[in-house]
Amino acid sequence: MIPLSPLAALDPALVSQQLDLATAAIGEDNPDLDVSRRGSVYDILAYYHAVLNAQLLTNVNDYLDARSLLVLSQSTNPDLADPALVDDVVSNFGVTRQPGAAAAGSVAIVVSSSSTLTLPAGAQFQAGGLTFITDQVYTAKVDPTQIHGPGDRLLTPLAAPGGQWRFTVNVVATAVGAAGNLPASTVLTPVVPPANFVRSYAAGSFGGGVDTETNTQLLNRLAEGVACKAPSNRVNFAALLRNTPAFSAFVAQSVVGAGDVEQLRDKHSILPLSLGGKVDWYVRTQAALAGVVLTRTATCLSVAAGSSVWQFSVGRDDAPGFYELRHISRANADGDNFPLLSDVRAVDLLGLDWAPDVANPKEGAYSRFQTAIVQFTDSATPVAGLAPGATASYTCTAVGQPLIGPIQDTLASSADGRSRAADVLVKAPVPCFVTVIFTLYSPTPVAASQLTAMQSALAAAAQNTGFTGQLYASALQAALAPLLTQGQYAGAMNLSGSLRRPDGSRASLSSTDVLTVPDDPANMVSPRTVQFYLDLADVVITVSTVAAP
Amino acid sequence: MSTYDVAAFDELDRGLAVADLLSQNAQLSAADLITGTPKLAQRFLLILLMEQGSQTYDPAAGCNFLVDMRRGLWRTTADVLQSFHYSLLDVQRQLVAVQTAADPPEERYAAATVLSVTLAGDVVSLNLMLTTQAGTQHVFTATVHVHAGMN
Repeated sequence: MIPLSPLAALDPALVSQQLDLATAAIGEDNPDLDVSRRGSVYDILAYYHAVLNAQLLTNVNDYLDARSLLVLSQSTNPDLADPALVDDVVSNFGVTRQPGAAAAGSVAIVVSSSSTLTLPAGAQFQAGGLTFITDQVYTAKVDPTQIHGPGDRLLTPLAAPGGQWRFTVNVVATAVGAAGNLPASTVLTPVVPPANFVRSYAAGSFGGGVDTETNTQLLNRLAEGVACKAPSNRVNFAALLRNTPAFSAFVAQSVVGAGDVEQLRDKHSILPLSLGGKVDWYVRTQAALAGVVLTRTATCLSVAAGSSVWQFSVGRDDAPGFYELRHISRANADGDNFPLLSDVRAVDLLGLDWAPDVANPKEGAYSRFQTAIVQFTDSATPVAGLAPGATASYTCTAVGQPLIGPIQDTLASSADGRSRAADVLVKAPVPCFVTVIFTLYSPTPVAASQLTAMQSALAAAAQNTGFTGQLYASALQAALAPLLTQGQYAGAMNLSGSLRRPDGSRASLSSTDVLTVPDDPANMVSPRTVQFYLDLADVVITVSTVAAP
Repeated sequence: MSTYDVAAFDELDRGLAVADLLSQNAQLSAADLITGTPKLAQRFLLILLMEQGSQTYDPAAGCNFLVDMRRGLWRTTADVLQSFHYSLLDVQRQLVAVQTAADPPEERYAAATVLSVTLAGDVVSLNLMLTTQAGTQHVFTATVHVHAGMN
């Protein structure tokens, strides 16, 4: 059943028009009756008739605006149509709206005492104007032998002066939407701080947050509902993903196959020819970057005065398709950020029932078969008594896109699911990490919540451009405009991007007009393979208070 | 031009009463028509007893007389008088705003006076005197039941 529009949310102009019509009609039939505001008919009868009739007309118009695909396709703004009616129309073609989902993640809480403490279910944390709540009761304890159930958490000592301990709890956003996919290390503020509280932050990237699909998005993928769900042309690939519930919330996809210059895997012959039969499937599974916190055992390679060089490896199953490693830290420390010395990628195709044809690490970059060996400098571990060959535990955040591994395993590699006509390799898109800097001119101080909303709007705009290869400053300005209050103006935007090619090299982009992905098919870099990523922290807004004219 | 209005108030309807509004036209029943001074009195009461903001699409209509009652500001007759006189400014403004020179003088507002206020249990009775620009006066009683759940 289509719900009626709330009486308090009608178009005032329509109510006024209906009121005029009602009083005019009553007045025409009763010339001596006072139908103006001087009489009671106006307030007691005509006003309520006007409101109810406006409600009726609103719903009739809603229906007329969404009654068929023809009407919806001719609409300049399908999002104004009633979502329930649009759902009914597209259901005739086997398409259903993607529901929104709340983001979830893990919060690290640092305390200054090793005393046992309990956090209730529903304990609230806030970040970026969003609220997250714990999913159950958590009890943090310092004794590992007392850890029994999922709600028991270990207080891990940190290498901090005065003594600090850290534990983690799982939280879920109270509202659905991709805005809840916080980057790792985002500060979260508890509404009621636990005892001995020092700080809390996202232990890894939050994930799973999905916006409810809009009418426009729903109509844009209508073809996917009708199309065959099989690895064939681009629409078929998209339909295949949409039809698989676990992957259906993907943001964008690009299929590079026979006849595409970025396809290198079909040129493995001794002849300089494209032989076809290979498909690189670039899938952006969510708008924001996701981070997986890895705990690895590293080996000391060398020791110098005040620092040491360490090495660890990342296997193909640790963080399939990851882009880069960030925030390398001692496992028992909080706040280290050791610099990478090297990051050597490889591919691991051993022990598979079926393996795609991947000739080198560049071809396998950002796929689920990618591996890495990284070296970094530890400037915090005391070097006295430390010798090469020593081992220690470190954590790092592998940043990338989730679900690359499961998509490959389910749709491209499995014995029953994979295409017998093509060799399909699923990859996270080639990343271009964007930074946006601009000045906000405002006659009054700007609240932090408004700045956060602006950062979110810009990130959403930048991260939903699809495989277009261009990020326009004007598109970002358009996303920003509705959030500006009276007297506020945004200055020119400085856009810069760091594009990590599949071979590990970097390309720097910058502009105040448009970031354009270079056409470099020999390195599998083109608008068909690259996606823009913009973290909230990479939207730098300088507020300049200007005197009101 | 003289026009009539439909009598909106009946006795003790939903806690509100205008005791003698219709008695001025004794030959008419509650469902009948009113004109002249009673019509103006009815308009006066409609505005006085309409909570400002209750009409979503005309939020300035009405006054805060009953809002004060809901807030529990009425403890003594002086409180009721104070609330009435504050609200009277809004009522007057709205009455005058819709008057035209073509209206009969007995339907045009000139002044309103509280003759008495009585508190009896949960009933507040205001004895009001309305004066029109024709010089006619009209005395009527507005009764408000103060109890939980009143609407």
